[in-house]
Amino acid sequence: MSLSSLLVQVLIQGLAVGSVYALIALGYVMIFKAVGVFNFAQGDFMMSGCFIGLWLIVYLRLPIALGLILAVLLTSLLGILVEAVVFHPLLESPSRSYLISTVAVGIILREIGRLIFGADPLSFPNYLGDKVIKLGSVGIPVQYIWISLAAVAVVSLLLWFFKKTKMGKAMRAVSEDRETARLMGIDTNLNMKLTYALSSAMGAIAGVLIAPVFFAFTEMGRSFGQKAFSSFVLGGTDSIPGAVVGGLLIGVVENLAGVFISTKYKDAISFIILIVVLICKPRGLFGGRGERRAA
Amino acid sequence: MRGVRHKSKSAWLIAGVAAAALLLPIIARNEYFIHLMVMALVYGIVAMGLNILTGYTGKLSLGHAGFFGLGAYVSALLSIKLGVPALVSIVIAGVVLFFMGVLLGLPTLRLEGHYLSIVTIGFNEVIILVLINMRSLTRGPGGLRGIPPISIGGFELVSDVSQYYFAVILVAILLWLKSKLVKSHVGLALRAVMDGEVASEACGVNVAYYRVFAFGISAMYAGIGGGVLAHFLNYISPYSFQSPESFALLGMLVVGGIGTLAGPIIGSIIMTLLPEYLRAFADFRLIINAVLTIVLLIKVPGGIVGLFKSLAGRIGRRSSDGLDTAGR
Repeated sequence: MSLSSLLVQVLIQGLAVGSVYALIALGYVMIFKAVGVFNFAQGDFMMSGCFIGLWLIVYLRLPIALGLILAVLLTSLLGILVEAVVFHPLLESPSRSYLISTVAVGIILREIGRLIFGADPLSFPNYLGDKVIKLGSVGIPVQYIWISLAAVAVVSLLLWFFKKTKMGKAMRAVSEDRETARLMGIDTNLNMKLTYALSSAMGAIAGVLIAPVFFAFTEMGRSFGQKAFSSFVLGGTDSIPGAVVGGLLIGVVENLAGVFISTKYKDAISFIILIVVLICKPRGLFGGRGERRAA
Repeated sequence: MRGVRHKSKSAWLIAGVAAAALLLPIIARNEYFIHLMVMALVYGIVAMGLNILTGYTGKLSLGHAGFFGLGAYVSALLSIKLGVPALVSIVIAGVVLFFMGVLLGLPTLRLEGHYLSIVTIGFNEVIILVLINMRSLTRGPGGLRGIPPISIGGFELVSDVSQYYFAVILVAILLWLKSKLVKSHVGLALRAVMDGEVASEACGVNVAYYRVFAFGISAMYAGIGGGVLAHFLNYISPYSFQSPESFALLGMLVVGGIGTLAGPIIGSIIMTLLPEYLRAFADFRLIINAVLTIVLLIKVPGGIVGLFKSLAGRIGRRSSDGLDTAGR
């Protein structure tokens, strides 16, 4: 295979994986804007969505489309439940308590997944098909195209939701200033639950999209979640387009590095990018110069 | 007047705890229990270090197991490859880790919010990857065997009881150092920073400098803990230092009491012994740890030390005539 066709192939794979990172990163953005804290359980909500889907489709034998939709809805419910039981009581606590609790929730979700499904990767029904489209010497797995298209559709829908619907506008208002929004008559408590529902839904969508390619495994939340986190920081932590571009960049760079530098340290790439971004451009690619300083 | 009484009371408390700690192996003639206590004390050293960062700067590290592991490997390799005496390599591991912490803290502790937490997660993962992949040096996933034990004047610390006494003395020294640090101007400055970052910066406190220093000391404690672990167990594996361990260390702080002197040790003893005595739930160790952490965060934010303090305060208030409550 020639270098250029290898390059195209790696690029397409990178974009597909990157769009999954982007979807997860959107969850980080929503929670960060609403609470001002990183939600370290976000990756594990992705894993939960994936395993709920697996359970519905493989064990309960639901039709695939119904199983996927239900998986996303149930994961949203899980998000609401966790917010009500764990995060809500900590809303007024120091931010470090909130942060520690998100890590704890991630561990609990992951361990429950491991206790039920075991630690080995399980194959997920391949509803995306395994055809390969030939373009000259380049073979493009059709899965990757579907993943990217689905991600584009979800992001467009989300942008529309935040721009046009009343609920979306209210959520934006709360994330700008919770107290003022409350005084304006917005139910901030309900809003927080909705934010968690939506952010965990993003995770679940990412989970069921990537599972046919990478299998379902309980550690997926950690590995994907961390890369998505780098995307979120790269994108400036507070914008949807930023997170999307960040995700795509991380996906492409990581896959290029995996082919051209070393597969052993492929997983370290996103961290190196993260640290470089924090040192050089703490406000992300699109923010102004590093002004995210104390005082 | 009150201060004097308080001081003598705490002196009695320290004497009591010290006596109990020294008599423990004689009372509990159970090798396995002593071994668990040794482990609890070693983890307690690392938790103390984490507390210097989290308790006194408010910043979170989710990668202290990485420092712990790096300390263990540095110390073990110094002794195995270069024949450095164990005690010396433990000290060198502490110094190396101090600079590692400073290096990692410099770019990230200037940032507001909790960026340090994610950088430390990354650090933890990268350290594990390096330990697994640098086979020629670390022997990879199989771990390092044959690490020489600590030897003091020809006496090798191999029995559980001798390791226990060494750990008790080391914890006492490190606790004393920590209390000195907390009471020094560094500690004062750190607490001022935590109470109001902008205000203390305006008053001339160099926020970033103190934080980076605290992070260095914090990593140093972890490095010393790692070194001690390596020479106690004579065997280390990269898998003992993965990120769930970092969270377990945080859990110890939350249970014992973040930002208190004795909290990390109490927390590590509880979190080490509890799963052992709930052996039926071996599979649930991590879940129990996480659930306990959440429950304490919500219900007992001060941890066990905080709980005792408030209980003692309540009893004290009841017994006093109420005249001096204003001065409290």
